[in-house]
Amino acid sequence: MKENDIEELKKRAKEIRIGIIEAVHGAKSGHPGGSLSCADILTVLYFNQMNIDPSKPHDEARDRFVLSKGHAAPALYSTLANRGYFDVNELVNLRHIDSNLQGHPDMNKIPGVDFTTGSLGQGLSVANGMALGSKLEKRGIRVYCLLGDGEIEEGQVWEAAMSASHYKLDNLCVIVDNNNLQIDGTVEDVMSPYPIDEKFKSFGFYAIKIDGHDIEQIKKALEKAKTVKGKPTAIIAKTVKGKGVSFMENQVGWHGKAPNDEQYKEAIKELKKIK
Amino acid sequence: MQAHLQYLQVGRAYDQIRNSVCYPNMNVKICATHAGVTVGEDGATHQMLEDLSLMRTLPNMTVMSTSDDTQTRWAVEEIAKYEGPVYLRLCRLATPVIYEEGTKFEIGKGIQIGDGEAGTVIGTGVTVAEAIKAMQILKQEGINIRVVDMHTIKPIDKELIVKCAKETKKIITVEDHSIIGGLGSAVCEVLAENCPAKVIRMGIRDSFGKSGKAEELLEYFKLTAKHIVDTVKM
Repeated sequence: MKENDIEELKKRAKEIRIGIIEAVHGAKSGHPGGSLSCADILTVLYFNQMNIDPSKPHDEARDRFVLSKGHAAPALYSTLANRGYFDVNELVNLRHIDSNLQGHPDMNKIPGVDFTTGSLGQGLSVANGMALGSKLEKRGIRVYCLLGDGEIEEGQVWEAAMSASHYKLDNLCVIVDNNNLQIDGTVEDVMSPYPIDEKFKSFGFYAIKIDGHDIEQIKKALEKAKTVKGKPTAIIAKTVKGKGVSFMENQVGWHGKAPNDEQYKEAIKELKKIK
Repeated sequence: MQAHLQYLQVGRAYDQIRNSVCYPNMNVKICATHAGVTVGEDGATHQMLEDLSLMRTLPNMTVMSTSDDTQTRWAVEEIAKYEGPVYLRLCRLATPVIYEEGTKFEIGKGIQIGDGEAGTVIGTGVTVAEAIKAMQILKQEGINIRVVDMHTIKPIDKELIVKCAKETKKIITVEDHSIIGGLGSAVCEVLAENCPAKVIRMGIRDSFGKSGKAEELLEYFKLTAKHIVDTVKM
């Protein structure tokens, strides 16, 4: 299934956002802000770009996705559920003791999760390994890795960036969810990673800056990445933390907090209104 | 290295702690929160169960794990005065206050609570309050045990452990940490060398944690007063 219609993809993104709120409200904890900021990126990857089949989550030939910013698990789970990997009704059991939906993605418990993440900074190294493995075995797999803009303050990310260009991993595409906020404040205030695109370029990447909520721009950037040869691509996606729920947008307080019942109702109401 | 959460300090920074703190014997204090399964819903990646083990093996390192607000306040002030590397393990969960404000402790000296002879339950951090609860439940049933609050894991209080092994019928250790390498192992090492005795280690049994509420996880991993009572009676 590949959905090419922009309007269809927008509807998917809306459903994924509703699933995020359902999950975090059901868990009474979790990370809504950074999940909502990457919902459009995940939508385009899973409904338009990636070569995957939800009925075969372990197919060796599938494209891979590593959610390096593992705390956005509600976004990944909602995307996987909406894509048919598991029942969307499961989402409300997020973080419950008897649920498979762990607070951070667990590849051994959840169908469709390609790698276990949660300790920030490690996902790009893993994605490098997947991309290099595919090249060595000539499998033609593309590997996508979503990083947080706070996460790229971790030194390991830049060691991995150096390796990715050293090994000319042109089947690797890094996406930075640049929502400009991390747990303790703005990324500039905590440990500025800017200019992010210039940093990736100097590490040997082809880098593109886009609006991370514009479905068409996301799609074009991912398609462009497929044509880049001899180097990995980094897409710096400018996003809004909490995107889609007015009272969560650009609010650092919504990094890791669940909505109460009233806020939940308001959030769902707002999301349902999105055209 | 940008450790976003305290628990990362000892895992990610192990080599730096080894080679740039302990080997040159720098006067560095590491206070790390979010230890153990009681972190709760975030799940296994965020539940550090190996830190006592990692820190305990490092030469020059002093390792502490406090059980309540009073003891933690004391420890923070005390280690600031202490010369040399110290690791202080703290949990995320709100825990009952055990000690009166201003109670004095001593680094390296465990606290014996009660003097029953039916058994000794040695706890550290969050499990001390559970051990005290278990002692109270058992007392009502006519079984008198004692609890040891082992707030310093290294150097560990050898004299107190040996004394309890001689005076009580069984030794039980309980920790929100792997049973490999932490409090349980430290107690076993002391007894194996000085006063061979059977030790029952309660803790996380060679597994990672999981998501759930902190209280549910204490129950799931059998670390509550009820399970301590059952173990004493075994």
